[in-house]
Amino acid sequence: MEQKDSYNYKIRVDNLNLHFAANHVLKGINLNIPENLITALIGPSGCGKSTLLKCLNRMNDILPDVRIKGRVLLGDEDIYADDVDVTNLRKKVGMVFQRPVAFPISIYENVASAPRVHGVSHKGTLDNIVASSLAKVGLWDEVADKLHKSALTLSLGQQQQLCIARVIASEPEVILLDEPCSALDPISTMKIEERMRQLAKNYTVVIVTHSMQQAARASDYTVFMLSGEIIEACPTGEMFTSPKDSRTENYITGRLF
Amino acid sequence: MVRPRKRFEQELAELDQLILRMGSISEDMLNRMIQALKERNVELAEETVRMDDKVDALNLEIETTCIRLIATQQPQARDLRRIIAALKIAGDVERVADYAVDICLVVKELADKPLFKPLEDIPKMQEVVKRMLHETLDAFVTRDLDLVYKMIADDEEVDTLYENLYVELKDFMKRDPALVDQAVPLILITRYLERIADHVTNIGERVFYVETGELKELHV
Repeated sequence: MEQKDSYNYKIRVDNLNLHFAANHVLKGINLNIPENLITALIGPSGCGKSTLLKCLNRMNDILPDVRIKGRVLLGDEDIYADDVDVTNLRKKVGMVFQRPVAFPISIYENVASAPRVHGVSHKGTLDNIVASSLAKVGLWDEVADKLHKSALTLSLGQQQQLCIARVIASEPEVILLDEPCSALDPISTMKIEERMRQLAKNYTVVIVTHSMQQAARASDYTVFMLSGEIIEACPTGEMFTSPKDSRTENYITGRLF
Repeated sequence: MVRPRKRFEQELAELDQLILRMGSISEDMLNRMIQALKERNVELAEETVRMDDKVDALNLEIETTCIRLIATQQPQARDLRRIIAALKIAGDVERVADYAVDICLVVKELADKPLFKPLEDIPKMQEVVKRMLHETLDAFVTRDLDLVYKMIADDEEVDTLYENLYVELKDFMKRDPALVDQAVPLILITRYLERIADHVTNIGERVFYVETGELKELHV
């Protein structure tokens, strides 16, 4: 798989192989992820797209029986090098999950918890981080007068926005989203997509989605995976109008089963 | 508060701008074309022909944009109508510009022939056709269907002018066959102008479709 384009790349995946016990889940992945754009990973269930996403901030490390070979460069830094501080890596490469993981504490503390972990304790600074993070995800106006209420009083869509705000509060460079809208209604989905668009001005965004329509609508760059391999990676408009590989064509037209 | 689909709306607005740019170049071509005819100005005719490249390029850009928006944005309802209309309108505007080119080629052919009668009705026809194009593009922007109805009424004036000119020029030729070399090119010009007006009515029908959801022939 060859990428012929002229982007600035934020992440370079170089011959990445991942085994879970006897399963060869990611097979020689080579992929460049463009900076300050939205990249969507698509493919049928079990193709390895979520596993690949999790490799980008080493979320697979903790699993038993996992073996990872190859390099993932964030800028110039190999995130799998021995001396990498994984907590610090996850500050730079934040992640949002399929189900909103709002902690059963106040809205304020949900967002403030991230900078606290990274050593910020000054109240005024935390107040500013909480306010600006919530504003960046478009939630500030809705929650400004109830910051100290439980986050669980929010709707699911709002909880997911809160989770994105929490990631932003760590001042990441990259935001990974694993099926961020699959638990949400269509309007909340559209709001999250529009918010991703705003965020992509300052952050590199990578999203895994089961919805081809979402990848088409919301991303700039699309990567199609099948059985642990990347089949095709190209600008989204190109993939959904003239994919080069017949397997991509079959998948996005609903003929691959 | 996030406005959902803000970016898609921007892209639709940009698509409108492409249509308007294409339309205004075509309008400009109609102006230069008639000026070239009045002045028997071959250089101006050739310059006008070259403007068609810009129109063709815009047509391709609009087509590519429409295809991409349909493939990626799952447009529905008015959004879908706007994109489909843009695709069709671009095709009609492209034909308008092509006929302007055809007229310029006739102008070049006529350049060294004296006119046997003063040019009156052809410029009049061009005025009406140009007004029709302008009204239709205005309607496209302002969503004012009254402009579309006005344009349809203007088309009848074009048809009448065309029929009269056709008969008149034929009579000239019958009376003096030596006039054929001038009269035939003039008939071609009137025919092209009449075709331009028909393409403009097509554009009006697409504007009508975007606003009402109804696809129908508007001219009688």
